[in-house]
Amino acid sequence: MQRILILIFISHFCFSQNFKAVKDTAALKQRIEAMSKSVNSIESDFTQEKNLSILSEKVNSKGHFIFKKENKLRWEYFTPYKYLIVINNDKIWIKDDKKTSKFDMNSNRVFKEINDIMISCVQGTIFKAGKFAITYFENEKFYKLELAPLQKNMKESLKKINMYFDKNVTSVSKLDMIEPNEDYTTLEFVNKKINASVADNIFSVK
Amino acid sequence: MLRWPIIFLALSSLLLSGCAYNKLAKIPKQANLNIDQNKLKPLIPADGSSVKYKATIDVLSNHFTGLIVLKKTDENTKHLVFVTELGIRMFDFEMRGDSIIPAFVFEPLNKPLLVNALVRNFKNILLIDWFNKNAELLKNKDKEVLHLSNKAQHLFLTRNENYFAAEQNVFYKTKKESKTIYTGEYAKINLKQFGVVKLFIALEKIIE
Repeated sequence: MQRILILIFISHFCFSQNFKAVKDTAALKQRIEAMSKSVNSIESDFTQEKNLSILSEKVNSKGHFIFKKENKLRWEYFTPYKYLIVINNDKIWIKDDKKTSKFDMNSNRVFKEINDIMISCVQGTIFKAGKFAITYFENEKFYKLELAPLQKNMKESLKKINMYFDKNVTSVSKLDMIEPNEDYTTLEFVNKKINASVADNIFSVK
Repeated sequence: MLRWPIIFLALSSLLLSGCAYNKLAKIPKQANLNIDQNKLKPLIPADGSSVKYKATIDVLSNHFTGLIVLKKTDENTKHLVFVTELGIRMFDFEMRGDSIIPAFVFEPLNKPLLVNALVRNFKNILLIDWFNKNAELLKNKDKEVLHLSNKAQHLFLTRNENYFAAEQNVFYKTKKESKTIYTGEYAKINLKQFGVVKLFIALEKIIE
């Protein structure tokens, strides 16, 4: 009996990890686009795990983010220490315990790129930018989009992004960012609130 | 008109730096000491466990923050990896014996002046030059200082009662290059580099 239970557990586990290609990718794209259009705000806790392959070591962080359409994001780390990034249209603030820095996105290409990636990852619109080759997969829990960068400079620092949506396609559930040396960063989003009321004044730092 | 005050300030700073060197170099030599892990506690654990620091680096008008992970990865190799809060790996320095080389540097940061300054100063912070070397033990009634010279470079180091580094001053000839202050059992480390390229590194140990 015990063996049967173990077998059931193993087969269930294998099945739950086993992604197969999505047959109707056009329908899935439409659902994701509909989701992006209907979402005006997202608020969520997140866990971040950075895996450093050379050290066989993980760096874990926890935080909270709030997104508001069109281009407002408050991304805050609580552990291992406090750190805040706020994006409000073309302005970006970075606050650590010693310093608050404010940048103009239009004068800084790196921050523009960070902004585009962060906002489009949170919103699930990253695949629309034409910067990635996309393959669509699913299992019983998630849709998974594998995004391989097309641009040479992006390929040097990023091998692939895996973007997971729940099967109801309400929001992004998880992100894996895999680097060429097999280091990866996993972001998981929990306690999500979609389209809750969000005040504008939290998207600036004094 | 402004030239003379600047020359005066530069000369005073050179004289003060020379004074600091003479003050240390004039302490009488007591003995030679072969530096091992019993005489100076290393920052990277020998058992393969990792140490993490919250890091702030200010160099050439850049302000970087993130996490530094230090770890021995095999019998002869240690690594220092700096990742930003968002998980971007900025650099990975590999150490073997007393050499330290950049194994990886994030492309936008990969400028020789910047990388050399980072490598040189992390080598000092991690006390890499000291181990398995014959240092001079200088001693007077006020303090005990270790002295190591390598060509024109002079390193002076004080330790606390448990053999953790307390303060390290590095000179090129008699001119001060950098000063590092270590707090407790390496809970906090602050390095300041002097000279043309101003650099400041602050590390704070993360207790998990």
